[in-house]
Amino acid sequence: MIALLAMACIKPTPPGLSPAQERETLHAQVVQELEGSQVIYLQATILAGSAADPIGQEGVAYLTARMLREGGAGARSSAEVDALLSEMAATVQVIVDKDLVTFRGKALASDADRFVPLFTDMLANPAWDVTRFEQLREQSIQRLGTRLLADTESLGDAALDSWLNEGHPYGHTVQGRTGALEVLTLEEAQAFYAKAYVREAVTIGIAGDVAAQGALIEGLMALPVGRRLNPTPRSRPPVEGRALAIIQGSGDSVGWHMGHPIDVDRDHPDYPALLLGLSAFGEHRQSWGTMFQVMRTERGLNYGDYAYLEHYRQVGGSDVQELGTLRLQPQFSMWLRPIQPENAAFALKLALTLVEQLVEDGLDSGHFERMQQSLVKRTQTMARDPGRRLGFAVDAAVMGHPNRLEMGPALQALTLEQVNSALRTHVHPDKLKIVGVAPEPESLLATLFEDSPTPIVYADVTPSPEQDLLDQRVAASSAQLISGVILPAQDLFR
Amino acid sequence: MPSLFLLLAPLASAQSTLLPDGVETTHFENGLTLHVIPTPTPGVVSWQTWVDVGSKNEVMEGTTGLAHLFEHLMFYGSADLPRQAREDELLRLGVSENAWTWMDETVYTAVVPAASLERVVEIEADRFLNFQVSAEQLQRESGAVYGEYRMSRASAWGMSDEQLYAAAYVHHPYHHPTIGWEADIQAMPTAIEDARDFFAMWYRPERTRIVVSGDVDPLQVKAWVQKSWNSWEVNSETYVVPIEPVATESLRIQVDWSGGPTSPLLLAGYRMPSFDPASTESAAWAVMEELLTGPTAPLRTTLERETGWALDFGGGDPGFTDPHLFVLSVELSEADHLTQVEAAITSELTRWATQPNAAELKTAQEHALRAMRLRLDDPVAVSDLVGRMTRGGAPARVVETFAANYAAVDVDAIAAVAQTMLLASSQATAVLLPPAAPTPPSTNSASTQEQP
Repeated sequence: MIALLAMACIKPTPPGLSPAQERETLHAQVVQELEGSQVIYLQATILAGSAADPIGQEGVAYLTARMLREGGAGARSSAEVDALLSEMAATVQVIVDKDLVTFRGKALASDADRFVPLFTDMLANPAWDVTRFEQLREQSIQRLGTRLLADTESLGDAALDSWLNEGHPYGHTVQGRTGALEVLTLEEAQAFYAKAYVREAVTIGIAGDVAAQGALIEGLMALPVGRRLNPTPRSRPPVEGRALAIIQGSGDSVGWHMGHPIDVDRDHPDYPALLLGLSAFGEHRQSWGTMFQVMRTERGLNYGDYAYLEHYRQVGGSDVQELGTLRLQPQFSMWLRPIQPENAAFALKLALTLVEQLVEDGLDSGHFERMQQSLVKRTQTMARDPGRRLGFAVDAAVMGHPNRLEMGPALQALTLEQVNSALRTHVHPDKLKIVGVAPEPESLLATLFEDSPTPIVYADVTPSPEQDLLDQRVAASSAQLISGVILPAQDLFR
Repeated sequence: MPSLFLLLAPLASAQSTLLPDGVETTHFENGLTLHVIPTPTPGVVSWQTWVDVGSKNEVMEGTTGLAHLFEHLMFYGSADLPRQAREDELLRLGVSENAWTWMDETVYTAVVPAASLERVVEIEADRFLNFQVSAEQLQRESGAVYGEYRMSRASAWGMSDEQLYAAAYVHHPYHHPTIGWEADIQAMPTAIEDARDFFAMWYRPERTRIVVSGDVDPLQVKAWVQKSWNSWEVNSETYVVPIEPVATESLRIQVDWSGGPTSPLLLAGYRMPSFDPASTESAAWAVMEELLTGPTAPLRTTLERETGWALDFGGGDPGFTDPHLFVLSVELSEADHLTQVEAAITSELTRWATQPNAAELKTAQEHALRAMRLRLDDPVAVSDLVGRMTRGGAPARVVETFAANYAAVDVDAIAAVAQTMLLASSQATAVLLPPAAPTPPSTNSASTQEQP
């Protein structure tokens, strides 16, 4: 059985709601002992994400985290660290997001004597290999300057993420800006580390064989006492009306990304209701969503259409959400995957119509009841392995939120009216920033600002009368945009 | 008493097994195979239906992409449980499902709450035994497939791989990509007869393996499967996949790329035999992958760390069931480093061909097997592994044979693989050299339009 021996023995405080304090202890710890386990799962999550990048040094938080993992640890060089990890067949992953940096380790318990000190050395005693720093810096510049621009889907996501948070610490990509990266120095990374990696900013987790719990804490107590960086929420630019930005994409189809800031985090009383409502509307890579059914299943417009209550990062090629990516300030968003250019305007207007209907009409009782059963039952399959179970618990402890794995009762207690009320309160179809990535931005922009209809072009599909009625209404509707701009992709991440 | 969430099997010993006790493989009379692997993951079950039909089976003219189209169509269910009703019920059961298609297979996956498994067995059987799709549904789904095709065009890696295989395999259907050729995808909306023939030919019990891992009782799962899948009928038709003649010289192509900005790419391919989990030869190629691309492989260290010539490096054996390519994939920091990178690869292969280092080999084998064991704490990873290893009809325990063969690979076997890779006739290389980046337009060129 899972024994939570010392869950949060230091009471965590919600990072965004209390003043930063200077404490001699770590922020919190999560312990999940699994009797008889031969594996040790470690985690350290630090409030040191890219939102803490100083102005002019955008990218330093990301590079610092990568350097702790890859730049040598203690007396070991970068290569020696890799050799030791390989010898143990152990892994240490680093996940960097806007607010959080997560180090996730896994090894045989029989190697704990070597693995735990290596893990804590990475965090508390980094070796700062300058050659590796330069390689990682070049890699970041290349990723932002080349690879991201060629990846239509990631480009649209990053562009929306930046535009929604313009002027806010979330307003640049996690990897930074190429202009800042070009002049970033190792000394600046070291200075960032000294400020950000203090005991009070660190939450730790250990699962499986937890005999090394003391060594983990002891190792990380080598971090200095200090005041953690202040992540208090800051105001984001208000979204008035529907504003459009189109970026020149390299593919031959059009992707749409849109959203607005939202103040519903996992601690908000409306979180379960909104989670249910948006899962029913468009859960990531699931076919039951209303948008998916209307746009893909019925019309074959594209590969998928989704809606999110939290910024979504997928683990590899799976459909599973990456942990360690929660944000203090979430955002509502929708994503329409690539569409043939002739249907791009129609698809956008259809998605806008559907989200308007969602807010105005809410879910019907059948959809609500199915979604409720699904979410309640899936809480037990979300963590398929002990490392992921630990990850959920640490995310909760860091943020001071309820654990997502323990939301079954709250989801079970929801009523249809609560869900529909939450949708009306928090989702604003009339206030959206919309990003398109398109091969011909000018003509798409012109089409959307013209009053002429934009009928759907079907590939041999004969729509049903009901479908045809909606198609005609959508084609004749206006996207009701208040502004439109074409942005050169090359400048977005400079 | 064993506790929950233990790893599948003891890890510390090199002789330990990868899979736990209680693994059951059943071959039913109609040819259907069931593998059940109980794992200590309370309440969670991974269900995978592996159908041994992939793009390799698209041997009829104009039918490329049909295996993948079928992956989509299977979600339309049956007359008794059509798409919407099926989807609604799976939603209530707390199931999340997905699917994927590649050269050799189409795989339907689901993560299932243990309490929902009995009904999922029935629902899954229903769509395989009573599948029904209309011409209109096929027309609609073709649009989604075309959307996926368009997405695939934006990947420089994907396009390079596609063009490499198209050049290296002219007769064998590995020639075409799993997504299909565009002309065939455009014709899909009207290909209902081809689709029905394809299903009748390939979706058969003797080509299907069910893999169930997680919180399950193997005997109970066997009884459920027996009950629901028993009436599925075997197909007596046979087929022949064209054979690729043996290559006699090296192949080198420049990738045709008109997409967006990309780094220079090198795909260094080497012709290798079919993957067979029980063969010592496949094990030797798998070890070679670790020696060349493992986390501390000297070649990786040289390319990524010491020289910085590579921004990214990886690849190896994709494990296809017919002769295929072992591909080393390199994202170059600069096109100018191409010659140096290729020389470094050749140099490393020459070292293994002429002076294989037994200690280095042993270390790599031990590390890789330990790492494999550590990954198996997730029932989905267990199903993935068993599904991949049992394509030739072997029992689930073939995983242990593979591990034993892997551990037993010696310097002679590795030298033989390296010598094969060094033969000119073995080599098939693709290089993508992007055109020079255009001068970025100034921000003044941005146009703005206000709503009237």
